[in-house]
Order: sequence, then C-alpha cells, then structure tokens
Amino acid sequence: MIFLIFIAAFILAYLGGKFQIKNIRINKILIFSWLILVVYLTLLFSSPYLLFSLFLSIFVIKLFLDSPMWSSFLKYTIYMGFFIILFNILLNSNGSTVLFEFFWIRITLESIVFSLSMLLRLMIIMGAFAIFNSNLPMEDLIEVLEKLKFPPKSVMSLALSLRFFPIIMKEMKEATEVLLSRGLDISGIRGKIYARYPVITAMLSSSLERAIQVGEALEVKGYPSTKRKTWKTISLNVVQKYVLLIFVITAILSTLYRVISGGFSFYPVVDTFKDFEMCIFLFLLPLSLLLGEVSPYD
Amino acid sequence: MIEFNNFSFRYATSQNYALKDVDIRIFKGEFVVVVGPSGSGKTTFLRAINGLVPHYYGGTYKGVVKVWGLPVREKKPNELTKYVSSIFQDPENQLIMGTVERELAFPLENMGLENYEISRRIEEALEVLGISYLCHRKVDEISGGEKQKVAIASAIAMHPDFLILDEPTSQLDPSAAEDILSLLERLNDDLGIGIILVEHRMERTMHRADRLIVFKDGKIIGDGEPRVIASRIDMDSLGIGYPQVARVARYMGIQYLPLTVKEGRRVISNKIARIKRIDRKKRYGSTILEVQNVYFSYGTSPVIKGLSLKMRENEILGIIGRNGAGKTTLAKLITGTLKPAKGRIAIPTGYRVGMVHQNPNVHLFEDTIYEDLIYFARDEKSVKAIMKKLGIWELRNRNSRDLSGGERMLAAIASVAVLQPNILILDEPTRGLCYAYKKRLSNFLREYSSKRGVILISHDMETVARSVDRIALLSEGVIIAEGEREDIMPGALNYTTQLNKLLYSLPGNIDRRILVEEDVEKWD
Repeated sequence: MIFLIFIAAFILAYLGGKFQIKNIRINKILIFSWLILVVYLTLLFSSPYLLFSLFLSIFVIKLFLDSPMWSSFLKYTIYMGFFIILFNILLNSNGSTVLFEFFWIRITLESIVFSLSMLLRLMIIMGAFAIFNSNLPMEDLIEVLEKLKFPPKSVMSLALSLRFFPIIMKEMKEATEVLLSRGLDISGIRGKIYARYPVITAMLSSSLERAIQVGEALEVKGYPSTKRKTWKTISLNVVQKYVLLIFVITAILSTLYRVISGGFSFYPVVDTFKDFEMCIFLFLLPLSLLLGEVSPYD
Repeated sequence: MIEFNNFSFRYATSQNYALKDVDIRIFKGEFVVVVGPSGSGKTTFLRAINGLVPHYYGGTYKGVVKVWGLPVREKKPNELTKYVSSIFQDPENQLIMGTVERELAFPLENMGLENYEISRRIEEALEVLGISYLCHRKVDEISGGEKQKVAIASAIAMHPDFLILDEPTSQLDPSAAEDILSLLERLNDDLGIGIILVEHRMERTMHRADRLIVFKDGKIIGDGEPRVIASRIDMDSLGIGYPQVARVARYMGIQYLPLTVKEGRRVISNKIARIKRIDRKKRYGSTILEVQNVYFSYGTSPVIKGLSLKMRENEILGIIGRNGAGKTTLAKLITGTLKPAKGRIAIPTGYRVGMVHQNPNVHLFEDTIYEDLIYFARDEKSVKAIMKKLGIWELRNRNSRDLSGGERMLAAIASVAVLQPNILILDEPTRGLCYAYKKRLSNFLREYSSKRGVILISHDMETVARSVDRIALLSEGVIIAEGEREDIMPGALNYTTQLNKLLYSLPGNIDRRILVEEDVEKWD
C-alpha cells in the first residue's frame, strides 16, 4: 500500500500541471498563513500516510488556484529526489528487510520507504511554494508582512532585496560579458574559479555604491519615520477570519497529536497505517483556504 | 525660500572644500539650472538643501543653509521632505518599492498621512504627470524614462515647494529626456514648484531656465538670467558648453545669444549665409566587418530581422535609431556574446572586437582605474598613452567610485581601448558626459579609428555628427538608411543637429550639409 501512495503522489504531481478547474483569487494573508501551516505540518510529520493526505490537499487547491510554476517546480523536485533516494539507499543501511546486499552496500525496504517519504515531503513544500509564488507577488508579500506586524526594518530589508536582486543579477551577467570580451580566461575549473574574482569585486563595489544611493533615496523619502503609517492594509472578512482560525486550530491539534501519538517509525520495520482520522483531518482542514476567495471588487 | 549664508562644506574624507562661501537665495517658483565642470560642487549644493549634507554626508560645515527659515543643520532630511523633494541621476536606485503605486505611497506613509489622503495624492500625482497607466505596473517592467517620471511623481506627491534634481536625464535617451524637462517646465509654470536642476544638456535646459548658476571649484562664478550669464562666461572653456546655436552665434561675434533654433533664425540668419563647408573626404581600407542577413530573437520576439551591414578600416560607423530598435543587440551579435539564429557575421581571422557597455561600472573593479586598465592590457606605455588622450591620466590613482559619471565612462572606454581591438564598439558612451568630455571622446575616436574600425551607438546627434563618417539608421531590427553622414543626417526631423536644423529652416543659398562647427571652413 505504501508504494501505491508514492505512485499516486507522482501521478497527482503530473496531473496538477495538466488540469485547472478554476482560477480563484485568495486573500493575501490567508495564502501566506496557509504556506506557513503547510511547511509546519510537513516538518512536524514524517508519516508517508499523513504526508500524502497533505499532498492530496495541496493538489486539490492547485486545481482551483492557477500556478504556472507547478510543473517546473515538481519536475525539479523529482530530479533532486533521484539523488535523495540514491544517497539514502547507498548510505543508509538501517532496516530489517534486506532486499539486496553486496559488500558494504545494503539496500533495505525501510530505507527506500524513508527516502520516498523525504521526497514526498520535498514535493509538498515545493508544490506549496509553487502555488504561493504564483498567487502572491513578492511586492504583495511586503504588504502581508506589514499587516502581520513583522519588524519594519526587516520588512524594508526584504523589500530592498526583492527589488535589487534581479538588477544585481543582470549587472553580474553584463560584467561577465565585459570581462570575457577583455580576455578573461574561464577555461578549466581553475580558470572558472579565478574568473569569479573580478566579477565579484565589480559587483561588490557596485552594490556598495548602490547601497549609498538607496540610503540617500530612503533619507529624502523620509525614512525612517516615527510617524509612518501603512497605506492600504489588507483586511479579512468574517469567513476569512474563520479560515485563519481553522489554520491555527489545525496547527495546534496537529502538534498535540504528534506529541501524544509519537512519531512515525521507519526502523527496524515501517509502522503500519493507523492514522485514518488524522489523514482526513490533514486533507480537509488546509482545504479551507478555498473559502478565502476575494471578490473581484476588492 | 532657500537661503545660503556664507556656506562652506568639506567632506570628511576630502582635503578640499567642496563648496566655498556660497551666498545665495532661491525663491519658490524659480526655474534654476545649476551648471559647472565635474567636481565643481553642484551635487554638494543640492545635498546641502535636502539635508543629506551634513546628516548623511558628514564633514566640516560652516555658515548657514535655511529652507523656509528652518536651519538645515538642525533638521533631518525626513523633516524637510514637505518643503524639498529630491530626484537623483540613476532612475533605478532611487525607486525603493516593487510597484509604481507602492513607490508613490512610500514617502507619504513616512509622512504619517491618512489612507484617503495617500490615495488622493497618488491619483493626483499620476494624473499630473500623465502616467496613470503605470499605476499597478511593476517598477522592473517600465522604461528608464518612465522610472524617472515615477520618481518625479513620488516627489510631487509630497507637495513640496522645491524639486531638486541631480542630472535626472543623464541616463535617458533624448526623447525621454525632453519629456522629463518639458514636464518640469510644466510643473514650474502650472503649480509654481521651484525647480533646481543640475544638468549637462544645455541645449535642452537653458531656454527653460529663469536663472543660471555657474559653479567652479566650489564657488559660484555666475548667477543670473541664462543669456546674460552665458555671454559673460566662456562656458566652452569651462567644459560646460552652450546650445549649438548659441556657440555658433558666439563664433560670429553676436552678443545676444540665441538659445533655440527659433531664436537662432532671428539672430544669425544674415551672417550664416556666408559660411562655407569643409569637404572632409576620408579614405577607407579593406572590409573588417560584414554582417550578412542576420536574424536574432529573444525568446519568441524577433529583434534583428535580416540585417546586413559592412564596415571598413579607418571608418567610424554611427548606429542610430529609437529605443528598442535593436542597436545593443546588434552590437552584442558583433562581439559574439549573442549568436545569430540565421545569417553570418564575418570578421577577418585574428581581428578582435571590444565593446564598451552603457553602464561603466561593469568595466571597473580594481582599487584604482590604472589597475583596471593594466589588469588585462599589461602594456604600461599604451595604457599611459590612452589615458592621456582621454584626459584621465591625472585620475589614475583614484578609485572609479570616486569619479564623476563622465570620468567613469572615459575610464571604461580606456579599459577596452587599451586592448587595441580592431573593432571598438561604444554603446551610448555620451550619457552623463559634459561638452568637454564629449569633444575629447570624438577626438579620441577619430584617432583610434586609423587602421581600425569604430562603431558608435548613440542618441547624441551632436557627438555622432562630430565623430562618425558613416551612419546606419536602425528601425525594428533592420537598417532603413545607410550612407555618409552628410547624406543621411541633413534635413532629418530628429536625427540631426541643432545647427543643421537651423540651416534647413533658413531660406537662400546655404550649404545645408553642415552639421557641426568643425564642418565650417571659417567663422566670421
């Protein structure tokens, strides 16, 4: 059964990129909170059954929230998954059901299940981020963080990073082109490493200069200010407030469940399936995100 | 009112005073243009008004600067924002937030305004500047000119009495620059906002100004009505320059300097009929570059569409055309950075191509500009010779970050030229360059092109006309006109010089192929 779960997860990952039932807009605070919840639950549980329930929930959400990044994110995850599985199989010899043994290589059924669970965990996180990134532009993230009362200086640092990172990358590409045309040798690994020095120096001094200019701009725009007020704060309607409450309850109950029931054990033998109610719970409650739709007039 | 009383300032890291004994008053509603050679104190003057000096840049501060009676020394920049708003040179680095709307809201949020007031001011500012369509756009997706308009909108949303602008058009192409300057004129005319503008483009600013302030070595050497000041001070020898028609009038000994083509027609029409053109025939060598039916696309958008072009030794080829025409892409195809999807680019075996990019910072990374140049060139003699020709030998021990934009660009050009490429490509090298530097660049290119080839991509028609032999006009990825500069530029509506426009608009038997002062045999 456990292998059927993994096969089903791969099929769902593929289907998620192919089908779209609707494209609804969700309140920005809710989608941010949902992401935090999903990441928390993924780190909290290691049971493949519970993780699959969560992945199923994400898959359903994907059908209602457009995410052009879904396919590429999950494709990339599966490539990475290949290495996760490979390293686990070769280096992790725990488990009692030996499938293959050759000198120091000892492949066990339990280590395969464990590595597939790790892959499933990664798929959940990547899938959730694919949905999050497509539905909450980075500029709006600043609004969300301001609303959630994150420290203003940290929010400003994040805003500046988001704004200037693409510019720095563009300049870096340009500096590399210039240095190559001036005769920079990048042949061989040694050449590639040495070639980084002038590019990095150019970028470092350029970034320092930019920092001064940005500092000037911030000063003349009146920042920092004790009078500062945030414009256009995001509001939640009654239903959205309840959804937020459901997320909080999900996090609390999941934590309690984890503390009371203990963790899932892979070694020496994989635990049997015993969390049916919790699986339903982890599938349904995060789905409440879909109730947080915003009207087109908002 | 802005008031400087016997003000002097020296930066903490410098031996010399950046400003010395400045005593001046600027009134609300004035349009003031501030000019001066590099390092003359123009930027420090602006920083002293918005409070960046002494609150952001520390140093020795003497005298008093007051904005509406408030001593700047005692008020932080954020306390002066409702009186003075600043706009800087680089449109990229002064926009903080990711979207236009949030960028405009940012200073208003800092002022602690209520939500409805912020919304109202954003709406008004966007409308006054005619950029309401940009409201929800991302800052990364808009052009340089639009970014500068957003910066101005963000500034005027604060309802300041004065806008101070430090070379706001130096990174923009001429049409975007013209847009920005017209906009400033309108803000000054309609809303009475005082404009204090540091600017190199004299032909675009002088006729708009009520007042011209000239700085030299930290001191004000001229202050008054632009025409009067320009006729009293030799602005060419200061490196600032004149509008081309004003320079021509000076050559002709005319006291009342025209600042626009229209004024030129009135003032110098009688005398100009007598001028004669020098025939500057040039001998070209063998072909060193052949672009044959080249195609190139970024993703699915075609940029170069079946373009063919030839260049020979001893030739300086000017490539002109509006933004997005494919000029930089063509240059990158020639350097080999980009590969054509179809077609062929032929360069003789062993010939090298070097390109100077628009952003000089990407060329300079060492502690001093001399080290930057010697890093790849190794040949000390040629490095020294090229630095001297470009007039930057004296700056050799300075870090590029301590240089002005113009000096930095010359250093970037030198960093590529020292490698002696057979084809030297310069992409918009005149941005931020004052008149003296542009002239120096033209002279350098003419000398460099001997036995080599130079491609100059520029929107600066005066520099193009002064430097190049042949011109290719690019539009939507194809060359729509190509030939000798005397055949292509004269009579063009946009791609020609102020002097040529003047000649074309005059009646009578005049040689209308004259483009720059150097084309004339003798000035009476």
